[in-house]
Amino acid sequence: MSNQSESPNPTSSSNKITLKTSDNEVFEVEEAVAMKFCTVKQYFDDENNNNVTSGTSTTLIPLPNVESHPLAILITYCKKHLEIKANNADNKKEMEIDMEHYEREFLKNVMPQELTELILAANYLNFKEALDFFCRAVASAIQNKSVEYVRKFFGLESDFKPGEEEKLREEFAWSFEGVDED
Amino acid sequence: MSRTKTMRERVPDDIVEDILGRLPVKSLTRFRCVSKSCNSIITDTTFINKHLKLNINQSESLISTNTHSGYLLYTTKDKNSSPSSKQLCTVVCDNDRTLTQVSRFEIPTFFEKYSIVGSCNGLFCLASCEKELCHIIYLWNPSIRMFKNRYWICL
Repeated sequence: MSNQSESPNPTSSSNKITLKTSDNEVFEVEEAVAMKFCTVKQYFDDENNNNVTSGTSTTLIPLPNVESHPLAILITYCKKHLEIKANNADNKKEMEIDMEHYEREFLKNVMPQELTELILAANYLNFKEALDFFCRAVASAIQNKSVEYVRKFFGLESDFKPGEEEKLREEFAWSFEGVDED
Repeated sequence: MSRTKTMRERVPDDIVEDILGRLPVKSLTRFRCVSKSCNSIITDTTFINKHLKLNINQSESLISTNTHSGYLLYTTKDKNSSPSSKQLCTVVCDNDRTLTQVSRFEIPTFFEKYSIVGSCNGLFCLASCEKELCHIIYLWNPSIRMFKNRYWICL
């Protein structure tokens, strides 16, 4: 299965870059989209420097640490991000409002557990805007949650010595009031 | 996007730190119990400074966009209420001249006879005037509900 991507905006370069995920799916994206992924940009620049005579407009870039599921979501997010930016090139305030609106809608379709997968992918791709957005989303998703929920969320285990955790819980009992159900 | 996956990889510590940095103090206080590494991130001075800076920046942008004046601080001294219900509020003055509460703290009964001398970065300085020549000074951080007797100054 291959995922064809459409142009994020008509003025962008028509060069396509092909990304291959760890589960061997191939995504063809606009150069403008791929260049938002700093890891891809670095690879692309290195390739171009090493092979200046290459006149091909399609480059295949392997992404051994990214699966197709988060990548597809990141590409969608990236295209929308570029589109909103292009539509509000001279109005930063409007751009922020549009972006906030899109991000609110975006989160309605994402399970909190999926956010960790997206964070790992955005982190590997070094896609800063997305990483910042997902970190904000996680913070708001966990702020009223229990300690156990957060452990599960980050894949952490309690490594306190017996009694240490209980002591903290006792000392700061007030911070455990009004916590959401898991 | 309803697919759920078991996580194969753990979220790196620097990202956990980034996420923690965006949480309110109450959540951070609770999440000290998550693990030793979380506890050391949250109680680390660099993290605390970063957290404070981020919150100051956010307050400043709130003041510049929605309000025309900074924080105002007041204590309520209601004769009918018991001393234990003495409250402290921080508020911003909005463009329409209404006040919006930012935070609300109960002043511990311990500080009943103390007066607030000043505040900075979320810390309050309280002093007693019980004795004529000596002032006991406390530093109080209402967000983590802790205080310290810092100085005993003879004036």
